[in-house]
Amino acid sequence: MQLKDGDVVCRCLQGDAEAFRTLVQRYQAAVYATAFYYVGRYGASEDVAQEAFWAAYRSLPHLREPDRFGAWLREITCRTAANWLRRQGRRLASETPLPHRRTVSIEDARQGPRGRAQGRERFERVQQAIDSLPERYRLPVVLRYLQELSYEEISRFTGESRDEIRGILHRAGRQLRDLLADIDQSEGEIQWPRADR
Amino acid sequence: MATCRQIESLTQGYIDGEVSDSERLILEEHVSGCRVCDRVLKRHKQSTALLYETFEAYRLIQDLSAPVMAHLPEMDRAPLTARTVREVNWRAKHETVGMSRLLRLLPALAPVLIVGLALAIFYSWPQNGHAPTESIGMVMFCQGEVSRSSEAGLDPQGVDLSSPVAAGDRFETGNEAAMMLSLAGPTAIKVAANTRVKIHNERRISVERGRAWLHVGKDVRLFRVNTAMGDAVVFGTTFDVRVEQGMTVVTVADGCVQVETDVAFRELNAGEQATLRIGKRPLDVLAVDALAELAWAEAIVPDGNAQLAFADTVAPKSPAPMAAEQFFVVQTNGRAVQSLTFEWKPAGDVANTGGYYVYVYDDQMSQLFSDHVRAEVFQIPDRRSVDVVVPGDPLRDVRVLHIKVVPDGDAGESETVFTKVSAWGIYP
Repeated sequence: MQLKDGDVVCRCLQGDAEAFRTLVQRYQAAVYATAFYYVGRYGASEDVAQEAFWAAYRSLPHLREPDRFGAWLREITCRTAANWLRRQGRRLASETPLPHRRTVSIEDARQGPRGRAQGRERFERVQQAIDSLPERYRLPVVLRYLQELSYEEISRFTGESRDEIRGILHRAGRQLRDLLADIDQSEGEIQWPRADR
Repeated sequence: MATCRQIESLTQGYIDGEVSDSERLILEEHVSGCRVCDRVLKRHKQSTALLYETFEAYRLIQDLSAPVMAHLPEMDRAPLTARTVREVNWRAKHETVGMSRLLRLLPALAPVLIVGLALAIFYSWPQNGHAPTESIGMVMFCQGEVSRSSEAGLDPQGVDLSSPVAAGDRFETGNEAAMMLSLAGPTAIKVAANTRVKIHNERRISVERGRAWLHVGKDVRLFRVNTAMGDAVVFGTTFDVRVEQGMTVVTVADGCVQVETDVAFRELNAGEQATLRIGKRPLDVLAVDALAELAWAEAIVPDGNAQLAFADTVAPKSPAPMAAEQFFVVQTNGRAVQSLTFEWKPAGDVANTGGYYVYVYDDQMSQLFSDHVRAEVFQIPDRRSVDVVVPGDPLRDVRVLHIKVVPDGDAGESETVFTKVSAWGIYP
């Protein structure tokens, strides 16, 4: 049986620092995806995610409703990312934001420079499509497609109900389908593996 | 039948595996017969696949918990709101799930919560109990050469059946002699031949030589048997103490007995036998046929008239007995522990409080250390806590401490009720 967020938060407040590890493991995908949404193009997602967890731990005594830890953590993550962008503002202005930091996988190497260029181009198109969505749709979309969070997990993190998330992702999916219709895709059934979490 | 519009509203949930079984069936049924919706679903799948594929390379691979936990900052010292405190306290009591493993120590001096008060049987000591009367017991059986010497230092005298036993009496049996005493409690003591026992009070005796069988009534207060090599401490049980050259053998037939020497302590259960030697740790414990070991005592049965006399004179004088063991569980979760703090409620009669033994075990109930807190500590009027320092190196790699606190029974009759035990440490 899994402990409720509120119980884990209370343990931390009682001095059990190690209990925080449970919260990190539970929310790292969501926090990372949120950080990626804001600072992914500067390769700072992991750093910002870590900073967000530290900020959350420091501020834990200020959390009013321990059971709404997820939504509170999302706010902290957004704030941490915004602070990071502000801090880095001047330096970033003189930098080319792309390409994203990423590991070159064996598959990339097989694709060769042309394949990689296509991948980058495709990423840009997808990014633009997401940016054109209503703001409220964007984070759930990133949480879903980057980290494959379930509707329930997304709902816990954004503070919206599961039905709202289902509606948001449906409407966003329809818009993205239209926006990305011209990207070349092979015909037929497409399989994609769920990320191991 | 579902309309195409209704079906379209299910497509994303269907692809994401987030629709109910009935919705899934309705959609599949509809799509199999509707080419428009089938095409829409295919296109939707393609764009969804494209999104997953595009993001796949950016997915979080490493576990962030290790780096996050390795540099955890200090928590703000902002005072918790009263509501939060209430909630934290409430949850501490109502939580049901076990702990995860812990590796790090908290910011210095953060108290560890008491998770459970597993056993705490508190009764107040009698306010108007009888002053130690001359008689705390009675001789129930007497055979062969048995002599008694008293605290007053009189010459050893013969022992009569049904004669009273006073604190400080020392009994000695000769060859082929045997004796049985009953002490208020009630506690029955059968004394084998060539044995010397001293009755300190109704809760403490010494076996100085030879062998004694004891049956300590279930509701008595802690009962202690001293020997030169170590002690046996019980609440209620049947056991046997044999003192030989350089060692004491304790065999338990029923219940549980704590045995302890100068360096070791351990609980024995029925069917176990421990050999106590000075400076020897751990204790040697064997599984034995306890009934066979204790069979010698069966021949000693109390005299009927003495039993009646005991019931009339000694037993009723004994006030309602009280158990006084207090048991605490403190979660330390692997953090280094350097000391324990015991807090207590102010007692009504501080001048009359006794000292306490503290026994600390790990979660396997293996011995960690023990200590004794003197009665004087509890007799200081405004004092509310005492620290017990872990001897030697701090305790590490122990997730849970089981702490037993028992009165030493040597002084004072007013009980101290412990309210909280905390474990303290520092950064490793």
